[in-house]
Amino acid sequence: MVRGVVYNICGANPLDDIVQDVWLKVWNGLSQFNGQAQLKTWLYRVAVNAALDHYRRRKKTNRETELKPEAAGPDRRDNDLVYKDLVQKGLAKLSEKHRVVVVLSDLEELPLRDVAQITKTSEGTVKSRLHYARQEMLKFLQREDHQV
Amino acid sequence: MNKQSDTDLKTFLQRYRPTAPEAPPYEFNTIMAKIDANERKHHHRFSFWWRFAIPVTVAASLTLLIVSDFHNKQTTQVTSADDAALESFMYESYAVVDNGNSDLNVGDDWLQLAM
Repeated sequence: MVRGVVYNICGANPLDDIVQDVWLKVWNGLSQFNGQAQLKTWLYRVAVNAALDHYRRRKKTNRETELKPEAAGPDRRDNDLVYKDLVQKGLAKLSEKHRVVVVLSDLEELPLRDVAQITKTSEGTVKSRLHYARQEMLKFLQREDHQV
Repeated sequence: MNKQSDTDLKTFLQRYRPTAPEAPPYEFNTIMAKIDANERKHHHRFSFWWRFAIPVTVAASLTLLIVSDFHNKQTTQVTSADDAALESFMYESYAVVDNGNSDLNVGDDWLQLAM
């Protein structure tokens, strides 16, 4: 789950490093975990924050801020892989905030309440971000000649 | 954008959710090594305080206390000349009051004031 969230938020480049960083933070923060939030929600928050931290650091140091999905190789003829590429490219086109809500809500299937807790926003904000993110995603898919 | 298209998009995203590359087989060991290194660093920091910083602080405080106490004793010591001067001053002052030559004119109302 940690790996999937980090991968969908900031790509494959230093995935292992970020995942290791997440577990280190979890280990260090476990004693301070107050139990008010669910352990799962807290774990998601640590993963999302680590992924975003890395993404922002990369944004500062690197001019190329856009996530680069892995290029489809010649062996990627399979439809599933083509669509997976498409989703990955679509996610990469979204803004940071929109990507996080789509990943948590649509891919991880977390309830809005949990997404709001993880992103430290209100449910209304999550709903609004999700609405715009889905619109952008649909537009992207249409541009790529794909109808959902 | 209606609810149906929302659901369709969600289904599409879930079905073709990008899958992260497999974790390397040594990942668990790497994480454990990082945790271990981190713990050692914390322990080292903690043991530095216990081994060096705290004893040094205690020793410095004690030295300071002893030195200041010694200094206090030194400054409050009265020499015999001071003693003699104080004694003669008291004797002379008392003699002045006792002979009725004092400049102080308290009068008899001191008793009323005292009551």
